[in-house]
Amino acid sequence: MNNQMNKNVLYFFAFILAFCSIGYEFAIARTLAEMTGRGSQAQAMTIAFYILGLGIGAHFAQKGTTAPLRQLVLVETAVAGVGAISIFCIQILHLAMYSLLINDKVFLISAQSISVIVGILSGFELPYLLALVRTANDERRTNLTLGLNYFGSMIAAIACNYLFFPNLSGNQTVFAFAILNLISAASLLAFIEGKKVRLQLGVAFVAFAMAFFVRFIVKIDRTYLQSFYSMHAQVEAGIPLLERLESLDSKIGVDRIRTPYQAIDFVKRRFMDVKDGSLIYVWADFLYINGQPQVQIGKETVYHELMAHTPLALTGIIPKNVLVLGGGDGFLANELFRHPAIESITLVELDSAMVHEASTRSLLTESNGRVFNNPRLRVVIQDAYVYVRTAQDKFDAIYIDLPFPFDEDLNKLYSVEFYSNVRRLMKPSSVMTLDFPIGKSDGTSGIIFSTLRQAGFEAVVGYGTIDSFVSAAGEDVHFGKSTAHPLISELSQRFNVLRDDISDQSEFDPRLVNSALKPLLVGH
Amino acid sequence: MMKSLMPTNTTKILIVLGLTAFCSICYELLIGQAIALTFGGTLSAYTLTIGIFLFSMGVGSLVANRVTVGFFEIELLITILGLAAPVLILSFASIPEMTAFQLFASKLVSFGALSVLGVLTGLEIPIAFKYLSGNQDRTRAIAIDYLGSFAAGLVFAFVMFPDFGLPLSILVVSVLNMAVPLLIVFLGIEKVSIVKKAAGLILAVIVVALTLSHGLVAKTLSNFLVSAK
Repeated sequence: MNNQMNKNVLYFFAFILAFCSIGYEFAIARTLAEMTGRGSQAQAMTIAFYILGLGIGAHFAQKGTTAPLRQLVLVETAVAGVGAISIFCIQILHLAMYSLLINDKVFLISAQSISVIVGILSGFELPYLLALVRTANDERRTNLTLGLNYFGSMIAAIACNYLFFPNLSGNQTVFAFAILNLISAASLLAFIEGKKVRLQLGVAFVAFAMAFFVRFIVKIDRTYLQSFYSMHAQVEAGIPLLERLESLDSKIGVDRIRTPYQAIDFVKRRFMDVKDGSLIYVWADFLYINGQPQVQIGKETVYHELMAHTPLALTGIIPKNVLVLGGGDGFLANELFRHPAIESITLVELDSAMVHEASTRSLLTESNGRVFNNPRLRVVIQDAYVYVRTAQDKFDAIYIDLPFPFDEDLNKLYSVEFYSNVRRLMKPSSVMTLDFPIGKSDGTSGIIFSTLRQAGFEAVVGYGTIDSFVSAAGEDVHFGKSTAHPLISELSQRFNVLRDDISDQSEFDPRLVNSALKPLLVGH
Repeated sequence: MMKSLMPTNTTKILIVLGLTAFCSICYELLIGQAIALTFGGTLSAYTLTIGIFLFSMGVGSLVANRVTVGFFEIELLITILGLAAPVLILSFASIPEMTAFQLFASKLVSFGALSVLGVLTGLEIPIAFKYLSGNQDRTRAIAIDYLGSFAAGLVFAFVMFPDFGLPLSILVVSVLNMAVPLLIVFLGIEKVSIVKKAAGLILAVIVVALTLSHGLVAKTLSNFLVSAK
């Protein structure tokens, strides 16, 4: 094969090797985000440690490039091997650390050992490739190799987020990359050193065997999810460590839906409940997003009753037009439609997959009253953060039913800028309500109250103990403890108890204002 | 005989490259955050930002041997664009009731600015390579580039964004990047005309002045995110 053709082949490999290497990194970051719910931190730490590994690898590569082709093929085979088992190793580590109640941040750092190893091996690639393509002072070839390396990374970024992650698990993704990696290594030998037929056949066989193994990955993923949720149920029930490890429950049912935004899990697991004054285990269905519990399906009514009706009971507002931000499961909207006066509800949800599940999955439609078939419900698939800035409608009541701000992505939905825009969509007589754990002593309550005050809400109240909420309104609205309301009389027992629990939150500390530009809530 | 304390040419280049790598990743993350805050969809915003930035860096590497502009000018341009791009992107959030065309145009300008920054960043290593002839030095340069990026990823996620916030982070990274052209002059890496030196000095004064008044900058950027209507 002529020299120029060899060079062209190497340029192609500069592209494909970068594609695979950064693919492992993206898969690790995505998996860690799904496991911990800390998306930004998982992404930032993984890319940082992967790049550290690249630096170490590149440093050691300079020690000697005596036989760069052989060294490159060796490195590619090693990257494929480590990459293929990377997610499996992280799953084992996660289960071990979760069972020992080690917190998520320590787990995130520990898991970076895998990113560093993948990075180190990948770090050898570019120097070896450069040594292969470069003749003396040939800048064009060097730059072309660097350029194609960057292109490979870009295509991997797009392919991972739009092709791999919505369709494949982390294990399946890294296996796909590993197979491509091995085929590349074999092809590299075939193109440059056409004689090594046995080696090529060997690598091709391993790649084929790995492709065959892909079907078993489904079982590995299922076992991991069952073990995790079994462990979660036992931690929740306060079962001691040794007993937890002995009694992992393989009957747990987990159905995972992957979307471009998150992993949605429908989990059927045992749950400790009280019956006739004694504790018993019952099977129950739960909804989790990125491993974080959202709601116990079938038992969500109490929670959504409190959220939907309390602000109306306290203010006497009977709303006609309602805005729900989040709440793609449809539970809150269904509860709100119990008010006959409500003419329309606009529900803004980021993830269309969540709405699809809530409209079609019988587990949810049985609980949400098939609310998505209600002609009075208007669904908008959009980032709530952008919606409140750009919408022009005014609403009588606004409900914010969003996940707790574990990271910067969600922090912006609890910021002064967000609440200022929410307030813009309210009339002087409107009320806004969000769910927030106000009972915690970690300072987050002060942040949320000060942020709402800074956004221009004159009246801010918090209520609830196990499930807690915050309502806010302008100066025209007064929160009273004895306001009569038609629907509330039906639920009088529960709300009479609640009324003793309401606290006025008028204190304001400018240092505690949470901004989309400077997050204060993250990390609590 | 006493060893000279003056850094060698290779060391000088490596110091500058470490700093440029640090700033490049910070710019990428800052712009990703600005795009997410303006147009929504954090994950897709980050993916597109990383993808386009890497693509542009690739273009930069490819055209590097045709570029006649010096290291000093490139770093000056990166400082200007790195400061202006996130501010410009966040300012689009203040446009009320954007039409489909306005939305398209503002995205085009945002990703266009990101692409230009990516191309300029992509030129950095090939231009630095002109000053590094040996294979070992070049490999070391790649390693330093990776280490700078590693530090940036951690510092941005765990110090800059949570403790400084986005506005001050933009300004701090601008100050750091402004140090690069100044180092190029002071370390004698490149010969620079007096006019260009004066331009660099004026830019440095502007960047420092803005950093000192970061409270005002933060207030302005926050106002961009609140609809006026």
